[in-house]
Amino acid sequence: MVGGEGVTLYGPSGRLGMERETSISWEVPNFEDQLAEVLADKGVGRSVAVLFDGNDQTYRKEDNIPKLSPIDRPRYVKRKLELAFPAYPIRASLEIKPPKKKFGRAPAAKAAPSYLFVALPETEQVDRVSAAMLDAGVPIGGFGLLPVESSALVSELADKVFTGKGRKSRWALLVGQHETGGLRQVVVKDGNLALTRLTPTSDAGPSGPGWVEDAVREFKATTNYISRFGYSPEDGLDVMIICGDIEKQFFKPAEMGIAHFQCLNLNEAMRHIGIKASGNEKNNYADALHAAWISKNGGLKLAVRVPSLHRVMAPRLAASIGTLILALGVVGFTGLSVESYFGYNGTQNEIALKQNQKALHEREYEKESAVFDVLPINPAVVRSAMSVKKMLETNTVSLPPILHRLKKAMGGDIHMEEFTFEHVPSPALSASGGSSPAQRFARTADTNNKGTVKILFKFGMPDRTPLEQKVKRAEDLLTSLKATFPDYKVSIKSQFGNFSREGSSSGGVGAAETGAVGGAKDLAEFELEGAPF
Amino acid sequence: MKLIGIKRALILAILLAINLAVAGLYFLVIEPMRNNAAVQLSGIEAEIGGLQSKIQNVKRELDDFKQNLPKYEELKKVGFFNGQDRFDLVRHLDKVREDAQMVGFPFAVTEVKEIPNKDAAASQSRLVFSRIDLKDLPTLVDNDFFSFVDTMMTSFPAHVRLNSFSITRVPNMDARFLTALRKREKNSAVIASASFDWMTIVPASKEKTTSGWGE
Repeated sequence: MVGGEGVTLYGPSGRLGMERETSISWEVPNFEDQLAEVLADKGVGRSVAVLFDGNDQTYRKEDNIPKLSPIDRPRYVKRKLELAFPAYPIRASLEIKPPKKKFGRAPAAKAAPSYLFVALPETEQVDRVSAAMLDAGVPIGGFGLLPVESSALVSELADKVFTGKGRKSRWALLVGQHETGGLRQVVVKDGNLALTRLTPTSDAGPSGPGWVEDAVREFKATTNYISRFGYSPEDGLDVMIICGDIEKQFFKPAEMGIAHFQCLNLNEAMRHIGIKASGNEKNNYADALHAAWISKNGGLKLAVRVPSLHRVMAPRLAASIGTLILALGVVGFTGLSVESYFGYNGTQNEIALKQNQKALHEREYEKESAVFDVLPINPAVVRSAMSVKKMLETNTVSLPPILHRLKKAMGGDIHMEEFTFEHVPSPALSASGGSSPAQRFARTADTNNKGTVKILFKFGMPDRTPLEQKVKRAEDLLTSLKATFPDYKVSIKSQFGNFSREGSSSGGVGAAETGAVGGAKDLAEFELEGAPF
Repeated sequence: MKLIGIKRALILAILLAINLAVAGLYFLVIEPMRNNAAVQLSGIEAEIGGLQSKIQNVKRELDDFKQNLPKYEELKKVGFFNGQDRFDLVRHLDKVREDAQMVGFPFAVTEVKEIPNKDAAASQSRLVFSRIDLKDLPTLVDNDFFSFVDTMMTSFPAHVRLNSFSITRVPNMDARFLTALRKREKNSAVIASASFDWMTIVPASKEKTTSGWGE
């Protein structure tokens, strides 16, 4: 906690809730050294959050923020903040949440967002704290402003203290004496910070009846202030004062004119926010309550970037992240190594097993192979001879099936004059052994290729048979052959009298009719080509 | 160094060193060991697979051998593994002539030629053939000719395949020709010729002769 009079260091405590470790005044000559020593001694690796409770804080509510996209709005707000506080090096903004329904008003449906702008001059006090933290080597949790951080504390405390005591108030005020500064008052409206005041401790001192009088006087001044901000008694005001049990006796709630007024000692206040604490009954300082609130939340609501502190904080944060990554790396690599080693071990066991299997198979193979040593002929020779024989048989034509079909197609009235037959074997049996690429492909594609059979035959008919009848018979034979040899190419190579039904022709009619005269025999020639059966 | 503190720097350095050591152990020692073992295992599995395949092949080959041996012996018996001696050829053709009850015919045979064949080469052998051309076969009718072809293909030793044939009816089958047939001055009413391929397997090492009659 950093205030106008010095620095107070708080750390978590089981009994007290939040224990005051030390308090060092700005006036101490070796302030930085002392603070660094205490931080190094008490820090024990825990991060230290800096809560500023000084007088120099400046606040401004900014309502005129247009509706922008989530990408554009932060840039716009940042620009607005720079324009609002051009002379302040330390600036921050916080979006003000619309009031919840419990305060009696429904939030405006499409209200433009409002922002709370805060600013702080970079004071020597902050620089001195930064220097001490640099020397101490402690991790830094961030820099926050007490009124902003504790606005939620005020709301929660008011909720807990005045539950069941009439209508819920829209305004709440927390008053407390701070060791580092003076009398701090934080006023919230609808859960958001509305006003904060810090008044120095008077000659009456930080406790006792004189302090009570000061507190009452300042409280009344505050109610006047908030009237200017729109407060009216109908809105309701919850007032909580943190004080010791002795001071509590001097407050007279009836004279305050406030329906919701409550004095709380530190223990009671801490218990209301869920922190067990005892032994603080006579403590009139409220600093520990704010410190406990920050500690309980685990972080700051609005972390303000302070250049002098950030120079120390950023490398330490980076180092912490680096440490975490490296630690994870160690765990990861160790896990990988162990997993890999177990895998290696398993593989080695499997290798041993497979070696045994291999030895068994080797013995079996030797045993089976030994049979070949006593065979009269090498089986490979027999196998290859059978393959060759099979190939030769595939390429050797059997005549009877072909002749039988031919006879069936011709009928009994046709007598051949000439018959020629040729069987061209498959490429596998050609003299080149099917060595051309095309032949090799053909052989691979069809090992059952039987080659091609080509048949040519000629036949004639009695001389006095009219040409038309002979042509008709040849055409009938062609049809019959095509039906009997469906997979063959069947054609008439030469028709009787070289006749063609649609070709050129000459002759005579009537007295000029010409009959067939002697000479060569009139024959029809047929050709068949296809695979042997 | 002061910014992060000696303690943090030391922790970072130690963690970095441990990371490097463990990563080195993993990448340079354990992982290569595991990879080598995996490769070794794959190799042994492949060897086992190969052995199993070999055993199966041996068994199958033995079964095939038992099945094919009688056929092989039969082929051997009919001269499928003999050379194509031209004196033998004459004897074989004469035997076919006798079986077909023919009076005689001229023939011509080509030089022995090799047909490249990988199966034959696998057993250090060569597939060879000779083309036998028969002309003016003395057959009275076409049926006699087809009967002769059948006899040639079944009686001639080794393997014979029919390459081609031609039959033509005698052009002038008049009374004079029929008389000549009756008097046995002529013995055929068709003009027939045929061509066969005589095929055998011979050892590859056997040197070829340069004789015009082949081997």
